[in-house]
Amino acid sequence: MAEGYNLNPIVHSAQQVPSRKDTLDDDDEELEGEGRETIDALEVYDMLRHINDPEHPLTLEQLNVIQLELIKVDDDRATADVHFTPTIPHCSMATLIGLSIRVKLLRSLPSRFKVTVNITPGTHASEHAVNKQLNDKERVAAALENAPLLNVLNKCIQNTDPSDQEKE
Amino acid sequence: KAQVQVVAELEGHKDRVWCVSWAPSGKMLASCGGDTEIRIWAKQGGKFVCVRVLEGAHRRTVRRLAWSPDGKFLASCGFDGQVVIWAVNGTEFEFRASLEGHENEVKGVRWSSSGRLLATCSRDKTVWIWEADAEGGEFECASVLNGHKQDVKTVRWHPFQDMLLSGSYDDTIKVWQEEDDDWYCTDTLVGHTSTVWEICFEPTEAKSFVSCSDDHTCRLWRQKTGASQEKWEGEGVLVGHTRTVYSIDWGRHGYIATGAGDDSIMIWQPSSLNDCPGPPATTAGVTVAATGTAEQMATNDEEEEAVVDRPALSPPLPKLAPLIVIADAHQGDVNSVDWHPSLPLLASGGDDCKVRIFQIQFPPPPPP
Repeated sequence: MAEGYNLNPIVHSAQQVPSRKDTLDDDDEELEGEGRETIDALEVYDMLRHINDPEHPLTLEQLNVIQLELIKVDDDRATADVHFTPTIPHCSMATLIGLSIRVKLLRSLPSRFKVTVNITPGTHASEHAVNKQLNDKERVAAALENAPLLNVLNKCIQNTDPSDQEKE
Repeated sequence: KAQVQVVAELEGHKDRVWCVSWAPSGKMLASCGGDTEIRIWAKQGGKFVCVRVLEGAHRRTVRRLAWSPDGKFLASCGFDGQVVIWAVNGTEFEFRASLEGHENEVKGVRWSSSGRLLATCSRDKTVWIWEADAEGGEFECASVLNGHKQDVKTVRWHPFQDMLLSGSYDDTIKVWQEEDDDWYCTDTLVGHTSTVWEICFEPTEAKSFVSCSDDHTCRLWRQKTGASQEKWEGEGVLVGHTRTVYSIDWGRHGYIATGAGDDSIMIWQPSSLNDCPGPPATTAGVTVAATGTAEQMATNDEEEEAVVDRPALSPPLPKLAPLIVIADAHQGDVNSVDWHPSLPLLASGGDDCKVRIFQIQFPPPPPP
């Protein structure tokens, strides 16, 4: 297999972080002024934790690619900043993983949110190049018009909503 | 005091609006975006309405639009790699030609002031110059300009000469000029620290131009005095936006408009740059001090390298703050701003799928 594939990733226990529904009682939904639901880092983590890695039958949570402490959400300013950590510094899938995070948040977060997706500093050889591409919305828009690529991305993010997990 | 009024909010696009562009007559506004359509808007009974939808020509996002200077043609370019030429007759638009050659997404298209040349740019890192025949229906590639190391985001012509600027994902701006039927890069401008999204000349004298960037700033450049005509230098930095600045346009009235990822539109008065606090653009004292430092360190190889590798030798440029801030101009990124050719109207397009037209009442000039 080509270099850039991590053949033996470390698998982390998937339930270290409580999901948002466990931390809230039903009548404890935080509602603001206009009945708008407040979004926090845990909720964003919940949106991302079940994304499938493009090369392993494992989730980004299981691979520690996504970590709660590397997600910063400011509901008032409507910003979500996500850092993700490729499993190896030469991971050839880093752009694809970043795109899957971006697409998932595009579909799950209210449109008022500004999202930045970056590689955790120092964890990838092409960190700057990948970050620049992931945060260029013209490049992202063009990538999402590429049918084969969109197909791969859709596979990564299918059945990854917290509600999909409850069904299982 | 400046006043801003929304005179029209135009709905119809089903995806993000990437570009808005007034016809040279000012009687029509064209818009395009992620829904692969081009919409033409015009005033009917005192209200702007959609008079035409051009669909089916592009298979993917239509990224930018450009009217020929005489208003007889509209060019559109898209992520499908195509440039389409539409012949305009009143509010009728007829598909005239498709220019193919770029390897992938075409991101910018602009007519030269004479209407004889068309420039296009693409993610394939090239800028193409196309030459139109007398009727404007046939186009031939006159030159393919290589030089940018990355994705070329935008092209913009000088308002009355055959001089072209291009801005790129490689963070630079290149100046291109024709000599003996061939095109050369005559200057590469470094200053922005990330992608350059759009560029615009000052429209009346063209001794300055302005650029906007992913680094959240815009830069003002002026023609170098004493140097050959095509050299340019930084003159000032427009600071105010808090996210990527996607679009910039310099109106004939002297005001610059910018649209950004912070959902705002800002209006700037570059003529007030000289009134700004901050160091002047060139300071002889700083240059002398820097030379002295380099000489002192000449004995130590490593430190000498550090000095050489320091573009900060040039003093910081004066900063300009916005004159007017239109916060939440769109409910999402503002991707495009375009001044009306004669009226104080500004059109904009955004990620909220909408086109808006603002009427701006500029503050009266201060007493002399």
